[in-house]
Amino acid sequence: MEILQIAKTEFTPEVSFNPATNELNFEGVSRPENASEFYTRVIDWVTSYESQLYKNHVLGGKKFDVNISFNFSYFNSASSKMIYQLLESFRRINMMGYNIKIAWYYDEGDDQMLEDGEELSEALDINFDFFENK
Amino acid sequence: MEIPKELIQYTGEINYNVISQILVDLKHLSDQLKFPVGLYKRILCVTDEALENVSKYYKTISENNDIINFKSPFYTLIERTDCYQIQIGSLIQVNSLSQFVERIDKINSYSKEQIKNLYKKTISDGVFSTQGGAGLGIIIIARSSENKINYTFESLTENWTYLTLKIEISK
Repeated sequence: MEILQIAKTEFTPEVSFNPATNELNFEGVSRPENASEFYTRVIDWVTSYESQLYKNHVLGGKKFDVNISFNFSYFNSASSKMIYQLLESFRRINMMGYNIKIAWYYDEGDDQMLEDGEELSEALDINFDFFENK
Repeated sequence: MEIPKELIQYTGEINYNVISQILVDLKHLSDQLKFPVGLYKRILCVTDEALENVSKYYKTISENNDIINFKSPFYTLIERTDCYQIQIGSLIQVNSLSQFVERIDKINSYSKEQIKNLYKKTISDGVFSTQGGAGLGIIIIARSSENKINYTFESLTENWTYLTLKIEISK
């Protein structure tokens, strides 16, 4: 699989996913004019990645860590649904036996972003590690 | 006697670019007035979600209705002694009113914990509108403001009314 790299704009986040290191990063603001259109590329990519890991799982391949980091300063409700969909893929990958590590960053004093992470974690029943940006 | 101070005011069509500009203005204002991060984020969430709702609703009605030129939407951010108040006005079809009011009243009756649970349930059930809003926007407004969503109506015609939402965010 190729590296997924989407550059940051004023209202859309930087997205980078390196399948060689199994690291996925989101950073910035997420309020695209069309959230579905923006995230379709990412969801398609993650779906292919999930399929590849499933194949490895079925063939008895070695399991490894997958590191996902969310460092949003803001995301809107339309984006939150897309983020949830992405995380559902990772929950399934986790259930295959891979070790999904989700790091959720929030700015100092941004209780809203912390709560967003906590609620997504609870809604998905998947563990997040929380880090305050200083 | 309290003298409310108008910080941002916009009247006219609301679309993605207009919302973007209002959010840029809000960021400048926040930097200028040195809003704490938490307060700024709560005003940002309420502003964005409320304006997005108006924008999406207008898209659905604008093609076939001359009424939209009758009274424009507006957005105002006002500073009061103990809170910031966001006012958003827009036309709404009378036949959509009862469903809307029912939803707001229901959310207004919920505790903070119940709103949190409703958010989790709504996002995980995948019950979203075709515009992508899910009604999730109104839940986020309630959650971010931590206050009741007040509303008033002004009857315009048999089929149209003008809805004004007033949302307070405590300082």
